[in-house]
Amino acid sequence: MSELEGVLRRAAEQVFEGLCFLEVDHGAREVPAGWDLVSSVGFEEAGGARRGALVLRIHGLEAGDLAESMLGSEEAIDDVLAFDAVGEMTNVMCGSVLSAYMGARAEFDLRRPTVSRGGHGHGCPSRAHRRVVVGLERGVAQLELHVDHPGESP
Amino acid sequence: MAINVLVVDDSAMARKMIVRVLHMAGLPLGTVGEAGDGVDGLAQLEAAEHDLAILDINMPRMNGLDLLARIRGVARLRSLPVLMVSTEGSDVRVERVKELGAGFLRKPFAPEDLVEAVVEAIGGAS
Repeated sequence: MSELEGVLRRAAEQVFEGLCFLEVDHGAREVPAGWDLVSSVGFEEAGGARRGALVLRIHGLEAGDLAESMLGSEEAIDDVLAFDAVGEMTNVMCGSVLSAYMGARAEFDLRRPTVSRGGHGHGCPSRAHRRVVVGLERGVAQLELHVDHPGESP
Repeated sequence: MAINVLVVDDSAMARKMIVRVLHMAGLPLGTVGEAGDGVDGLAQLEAAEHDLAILDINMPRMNGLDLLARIRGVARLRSLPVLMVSTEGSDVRVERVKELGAGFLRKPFAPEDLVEAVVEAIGGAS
């Protein structure tokens, strides 16, 4: 596993376990044929040197399941709040990954997350720079970092 | 003394999670308001008395850093305790937050870290 793949895996674990209280399975997982949820956060470094997106794909869990695990079942959760929850998860993962990948001095702006049900696309033209697949108690997640102008090879 | 708090974050889920932790911590809360961006946040802070503002950084219309600068420019709000809570924690921005007299907490955070940061922010102002 490369250093960047380790960064992606730690960010996924931190959010799934710390925010959603879902245990991450470290065993090897097969990539599913399709995804139930796709969430993306675009970013741009101050000065525009590097830009890209962090994409989170989830199979086997609905947005409502994730929102409920974050808030507890006593809260009423509609689709808007459920999708907001997935976007916030991706946003937090993106901040963690960029800090580790670009260094503590790098300033970057994050765009508003976009979340959709299913499909393969994510609106990001570049191929994934690095990706990791993590198993969850119920389902599988894939985290991808897309960098359009990486500057160096990780 | 009841603590009146305003939580400013463009994510409704993030606001709900922060409010939930504040309630569960047993802090003596008064009103707990919410705003989805810096413009609405500033309007609410100018309209009513608050004892603490918890701000995200990346937000539409007016981001948290601009909101913090605006808060420090309003005489009545100049000494308002502010805690920035954000995924975006570059050293440069954290330094700017501290120069403007606010605390900083990185997302994701453990509930106890948020409570500790809130107590520190309020305590540091008294």
